[in-house]
Amino acid sequence: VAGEISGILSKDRIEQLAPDQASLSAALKLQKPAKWPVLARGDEGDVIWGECQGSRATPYRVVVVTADAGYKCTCPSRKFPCKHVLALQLMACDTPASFKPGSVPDWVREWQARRRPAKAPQPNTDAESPTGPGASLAAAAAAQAEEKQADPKAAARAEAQRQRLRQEREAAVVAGLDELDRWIVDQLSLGLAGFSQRAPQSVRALSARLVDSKAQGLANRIEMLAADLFRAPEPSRDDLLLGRLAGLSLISFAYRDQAALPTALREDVRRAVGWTTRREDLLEDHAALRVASSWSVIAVRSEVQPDRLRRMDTWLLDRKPPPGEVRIALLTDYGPASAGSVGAAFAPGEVIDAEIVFYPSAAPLRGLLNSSTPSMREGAWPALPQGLAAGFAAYESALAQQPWMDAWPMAMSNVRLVSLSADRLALTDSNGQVLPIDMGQTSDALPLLGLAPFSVVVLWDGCVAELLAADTEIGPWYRA
Amino acid sequence: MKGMSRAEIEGLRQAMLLGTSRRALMPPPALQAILASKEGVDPSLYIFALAGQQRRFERPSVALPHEVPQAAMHLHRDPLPILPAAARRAFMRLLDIVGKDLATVVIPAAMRRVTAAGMRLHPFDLPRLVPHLKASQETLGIAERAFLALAEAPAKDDRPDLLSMEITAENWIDAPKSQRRLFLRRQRMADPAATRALIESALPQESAAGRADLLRTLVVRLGPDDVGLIESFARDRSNLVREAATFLLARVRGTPDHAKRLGTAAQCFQRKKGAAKSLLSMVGVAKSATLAYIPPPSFDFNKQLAAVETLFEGISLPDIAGATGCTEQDILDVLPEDDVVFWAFHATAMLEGDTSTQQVLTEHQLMATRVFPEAYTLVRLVAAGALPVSVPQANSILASERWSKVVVNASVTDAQDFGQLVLTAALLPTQVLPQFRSTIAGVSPVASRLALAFADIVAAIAADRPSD
Repeated sequence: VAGEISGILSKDRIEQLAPDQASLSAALKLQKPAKWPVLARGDEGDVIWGECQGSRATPYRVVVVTADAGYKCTCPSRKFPCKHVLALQLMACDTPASFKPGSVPDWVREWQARRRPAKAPQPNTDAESPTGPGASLAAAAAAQAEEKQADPKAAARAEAQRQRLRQEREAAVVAGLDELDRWIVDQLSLGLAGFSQRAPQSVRALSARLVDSKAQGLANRIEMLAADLFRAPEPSRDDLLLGRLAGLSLISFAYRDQAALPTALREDVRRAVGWTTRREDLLEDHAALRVASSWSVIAVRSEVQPDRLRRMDTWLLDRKPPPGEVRIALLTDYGPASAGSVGAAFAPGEVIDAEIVFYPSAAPLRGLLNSSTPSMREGAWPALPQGLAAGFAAYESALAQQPWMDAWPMAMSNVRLVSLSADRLALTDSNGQVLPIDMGQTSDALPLLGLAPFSVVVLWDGCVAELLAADTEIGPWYRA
Repeated sequence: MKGMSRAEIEGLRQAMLLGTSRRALMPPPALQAILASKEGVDPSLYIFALAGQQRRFERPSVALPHEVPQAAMHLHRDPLPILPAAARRAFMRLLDIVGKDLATVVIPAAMRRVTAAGMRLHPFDLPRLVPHLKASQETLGIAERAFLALAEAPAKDDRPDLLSMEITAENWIDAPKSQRRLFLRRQRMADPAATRALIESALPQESAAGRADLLRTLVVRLGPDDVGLIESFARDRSNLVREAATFLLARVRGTPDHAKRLGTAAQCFQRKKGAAKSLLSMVGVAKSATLAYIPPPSFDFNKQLAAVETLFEGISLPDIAGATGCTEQDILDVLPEDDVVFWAFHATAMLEGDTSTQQVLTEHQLMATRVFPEAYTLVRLVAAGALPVSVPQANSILASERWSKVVVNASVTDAQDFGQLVLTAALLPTQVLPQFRSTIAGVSPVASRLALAFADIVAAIAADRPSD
């Protein structure tokens, strides 16, 4: 940003943050100082704020932290970021001089104090518990904690209450697992060959019971099953179904036998069932795996889950891993599906210097961004192991560590894309091993055909691979 | 899970698929010890979970893949340089922000700028451009044609016609129809007689539709020498071919039929009785006050329009100027704005590949009309592949009061650009676009962003090719 405003804002980034073109157009219309009675910046240029006269009697208050594009607006829009935030950001780019230096007002200070430690731009600020507390509720929780310290009896009562709720939930989950076991036995008895026909109804009923049993994680897995089967190629559907149901059975066994599991795997199974780890807890967990490195954003994908939450996955590839290793991280954010599309905080190809804190897991993959600074637009990938065998070995190792995982990112070099049939592509290597690609990606991946061997990262679920990114002789390729 | 053989796993899998009520799950020896320790639990669940899990470790076994299709090789063998990164980003940004209504005109215009710079689009961007590639098949390069072939049949080369690296006099007959047309039109521009001979030799092997298609390419630099060939098809058994022959014969300059139609059309431009030409108009400084456009009378306006359209079909602006003894500018000056005759001249110039007349018509539309053309007029010009106007003309346009009014209008409203700004950008030469940017600097970003995005592409291409 020109002038006295520092940070990462640029027009490209703002356009990428916009949830849709309509928001951007609306923001462009708001780029008039006359509509902003207040436009100011902090002395260090790291925070900008303004008041925009909207349709309400009082102006909307908008604040943006330029270092990480974090924002807050008091308007009732359900788009994130809203047009006011986008307009303020655009003005910071186009007319930085219109922001007068001033002392930070109380409402901006208050918001900054409430912000969680995350430094990365977040379309939705709550990672692990999407339906859980937002920024303001986090402040309320902090206030409650202070209260508890002041009143030990109240704190003890609250703790007892939490324990009781926890035990009730544990019991409900086990009851849900009983339901799940019975359902799987029924499906086996009827035969999995006919599952596709009865799947929609049967899956919905079980999913509802699992939600009642407070096992939302399992309910989501069950609900996704029908859609995933539909997406998989016909010949591999039976195996996909077999693998997924077997995974559910393993979760059920492992959950009942938690005490015998290593800590990391116990965390995995609890998360698979639906227990969540609070973001703050993870960031404060000193035992959690932390990796500070230079990361390439290789894919961003947004998907609406069966529970009507939009999940935004950002895949990062460590550009400087220890020799001989490949490290990939997954950042997941959630938002209400009803809010429509949400602008992505990162764009594929971007390189960031960041510390990532991984959730405790037998096969660490998902993490939180603890701190980040944008580094460059695009950067070279690290050297990846050659051929598909290396990728399969990584997948098998992860599957052995974390048996119920659905899919695992495989990164390898020296592979080519070939056609298997009219609508089917596959990766292959010099040994003739093949890795079938998701049919939904056929048209987007066609330009990879005919290229010299390249490096690639795919998401492999045992039946079909989803291409995330490729590093080729004519530049990087990213999934649409 | 060591100890469970592939055959055992397959047996369990079959039982699970058929249903354990039909075929019981028999635990393999390797699992019996585990099951014995799990009393009170349905053994089928254990067997299922472990067998299912073991299958997840199996690597895919697929028959040997097909070879990489020829189309994919062509896609990456196009010798033209790929659009540089900055221009590519600008191009994709334009694609992101342009609305559906304008995309069909603006994106092909941007693609033409890429082609004109001697570059090609990045192969990874082609999947997003398929509708535009299909709509502009005549102007596609090797890579784009190969990608279309690939998109139609990724596994095999079902469309060899799309794969020719370079269309020549030797292989043109095997090219897709749109490419053949383009090739023949170019050849006709250079050497009408030799191209006629090429067409004549190919006609006997063609289907009726193919014969009609080939004959119609003779429209470029059509002349009396072509009459013999065309007349030989005037009694063809196919109606399509007869229609093509009639279409051409009516356009051959110098024939009695054409002369008669041209005479009738020229009568629409009449000198006013008793009016003397002013000195200024004679030297081309002022509009001619002596010429009037009087279309054939009719009680019905629509019928009049249709009659004029038919009358002027295939008659060019230079034809009329010659027949009336006026300058081309005189003719254009007396035509009502956006008149059907103007567009008939435009269609003829396009069909005949007469780029200089096309440019005259475009410049007239941008320079000489009372008000600056609205978006719908510009859409017609750009969609027809109008070339950028000359630098002096472009400078005059941007300095004109009519353009200032457009800019003022766009500045006082918050409305988005419905095409007037971006299509003007598409009709301006590269050298003038910086000036264009500065004229719209005060325009609301909502209105200017499409035009600026288009200008960004052109600027990024020019930056990569500073010598151009």
